[in-house]
Amino acid sequence: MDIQVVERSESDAVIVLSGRLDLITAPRIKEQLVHATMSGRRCVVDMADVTFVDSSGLGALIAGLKAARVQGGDLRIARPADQMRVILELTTLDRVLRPYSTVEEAMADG
Amino acid sequence: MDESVTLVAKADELNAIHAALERFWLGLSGSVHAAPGRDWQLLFTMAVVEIAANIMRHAYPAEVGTFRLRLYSVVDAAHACFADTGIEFVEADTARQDTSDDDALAESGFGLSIARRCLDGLQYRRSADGINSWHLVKRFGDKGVGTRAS
Repeated sequence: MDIQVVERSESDAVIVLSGRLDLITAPRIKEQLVHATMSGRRCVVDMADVTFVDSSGLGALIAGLKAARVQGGDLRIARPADQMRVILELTTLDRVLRPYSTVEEAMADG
Repeated sequence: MDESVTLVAKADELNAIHAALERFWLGLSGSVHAAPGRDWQLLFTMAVVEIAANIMRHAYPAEVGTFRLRLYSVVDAAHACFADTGIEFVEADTARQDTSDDDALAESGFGLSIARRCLDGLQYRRSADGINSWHLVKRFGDKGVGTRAS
């Protein structure tokens, strides 16, 4: 899995992931997400090129979300593929990791 | 269609699980039965990957071990059978996510719940000689998520 962090400002960052977010890659991604959400940033994870997410991958996103909120920031996901939408619905995590259609929409909301 | 692999129970082997599933889909598409659609494949893949990951993470806490995966189809369903000689599986009590409280959000322990929702049947057994077996079943023509598990 590839990860690219685009720091748009002191308060906003976009994290672009590509590949599988699973048991193999989740630990590294979790670490990157927790680091990116430091300083109370609003981070949007662009999931457009993520081909598969398993429960470990979801756990990494949740860890990032929890770390962000502790710092007074937030973590959102944008452009999830069909499989990610399904796994979010199966786990009801779409209530806390609400999928946005675009990065800009995720960044601007609230 | 029948596809079997024996793998070391470590995370890297998830790639081999996906490869085995791809071969299985190719075999199904050439069979006399109607090949399942993409949504069906996604659900079956998710279930197989969650059980595989569960074995990789928990079956051999103190050593390196192996497990076997067999994928096969019968007239009306696809089956996945896992077998390993690791420790007995004991399900943790974290199947459901409490989404009302951020601090209560679990970061792990809900993979089995995902697998159950994707399948028509999920069975775990441990034999007297210490072999763990997981049997996953998903019926063809089943378009939605399953609600049953055994």
